Amino acid sequence: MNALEIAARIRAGEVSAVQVVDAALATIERRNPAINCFVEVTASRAREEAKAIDALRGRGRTLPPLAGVPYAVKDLFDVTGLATIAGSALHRNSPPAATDAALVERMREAGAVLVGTLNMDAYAYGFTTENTAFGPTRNPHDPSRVAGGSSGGSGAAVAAGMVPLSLGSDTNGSIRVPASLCGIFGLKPTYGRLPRSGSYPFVDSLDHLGPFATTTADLAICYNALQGPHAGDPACAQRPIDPVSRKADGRGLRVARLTGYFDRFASDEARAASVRAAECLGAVAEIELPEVERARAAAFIITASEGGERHLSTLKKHYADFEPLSRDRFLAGALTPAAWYLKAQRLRGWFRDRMAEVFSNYDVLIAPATPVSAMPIGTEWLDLGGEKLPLRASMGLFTQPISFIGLPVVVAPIVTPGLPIGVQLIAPPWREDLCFAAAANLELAGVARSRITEA
Amino acid sequence: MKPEDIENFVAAAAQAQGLTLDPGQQQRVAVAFARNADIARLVLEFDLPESVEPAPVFTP
Repeated sequence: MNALEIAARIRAGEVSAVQVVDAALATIERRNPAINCFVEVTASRAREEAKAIDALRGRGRTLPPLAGVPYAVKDLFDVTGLATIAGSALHRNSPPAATDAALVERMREAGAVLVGTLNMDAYAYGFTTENTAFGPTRNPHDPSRVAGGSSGGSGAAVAAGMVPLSLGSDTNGSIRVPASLCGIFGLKPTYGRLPRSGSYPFVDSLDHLGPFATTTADLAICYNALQGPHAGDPACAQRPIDPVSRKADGRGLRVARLTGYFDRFASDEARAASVRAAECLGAVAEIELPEVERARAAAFIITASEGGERHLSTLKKHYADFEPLSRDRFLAGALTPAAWYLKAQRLRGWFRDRMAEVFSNYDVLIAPATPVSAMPIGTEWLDLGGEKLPLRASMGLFTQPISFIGLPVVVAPIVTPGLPIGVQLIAPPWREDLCFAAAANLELAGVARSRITEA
Repeated sequence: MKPEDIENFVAAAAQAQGLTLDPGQQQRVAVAFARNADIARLVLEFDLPESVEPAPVFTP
């Protein structure tokens, strides 16, 4: 059942919130050992939140939009009473969070029921959720393969039918990559749209938070619940709530498919997915973005530099206990010359202006979310566009230049006979509504559909 | 940057950061830095007008 169906059944009294959460907890207990997406299961909090919903209904009150809907969060959101681990064994015994992250608070206000925290790449630096301390999260569609990352637990928990909604973070693609590899919908909103207060940071200039869901309608209702200003995040744009519609509206969107760089590094299945989506949405053009490879490179350098500096003092003290897959990359990043970093930041301003020109002609741009579908766990290298590329960094080739300038993106899972793969539906800043309109149109046409494994 | 330039830079920059690296760490960090330098080249070789500003508080 998706989130809206659950909320409707609870509202109608066909099932209680406590029954729903007990069923979700049972599914997690049964399925999690094979997938390894949960770090902590918050069963007692979940039952209390569910009881509160049932009590509200018992008193005849109007229920909030996500009343009784179970969800889980990437293990970098503060949850009252739990250490925020951020995928690092070093934080297992950190003091517990005193309050919930801003978005966890908003989910609670919307009636949703938190069932746990989810696995990730250590400190969100990775695209595969191959976490040495906590084990790899496995792809529900083929457990020998990765779920994507760094919000891999958030993607897998939804794709495995354990929860209908989850929250993750996306700095360079960490929502969009697992959404693609797990075959579900994901949203990376405009940079500055959702407050990051109470979440463990990675790269301040590029960090975004957002939801995963199995339908466009669920993604929309969750996103609407998460919106609104919050003083705790200096990068939050403090805009009023700008609700998106849950339905396809058949509006004539001006759509273009991105080629050049995006076709060069795309596997056949990734290119086919973007062509299929473009055809369905009546794309009027195929275009190349100006200097997109340099944009990706600049995002890479900003990430290395800011991420490296953030963890430098920890690395000095605790190198041996730091995630071995990323500790040398973090150290190398901390040594980035300031002039490289600042040139990358200036390139960001330049690229933003070029993209504004592109968007004077189009509403939505389409590109694959990942160059390939899920690869086997442990894969090191990938052949793409005639080049041998390091897989763990290259899964973000198509997402990184887009989040570089904070554009909103919905990832839609394209129906394919093989492993899941998604496309990015990219809109101008603050126009999430256009991403949703495109996604809903694809869903209505049967071209996009989530793939949830049977329990 | 040539491989020996990378190694020398990593050694000196680590010192500047108060970072003590054993030979194994130094070698692995140099490999990672070489990859970053290769990617940074795409940024550094691109001529940006002087008027282009960075965006410390970035609202697209």
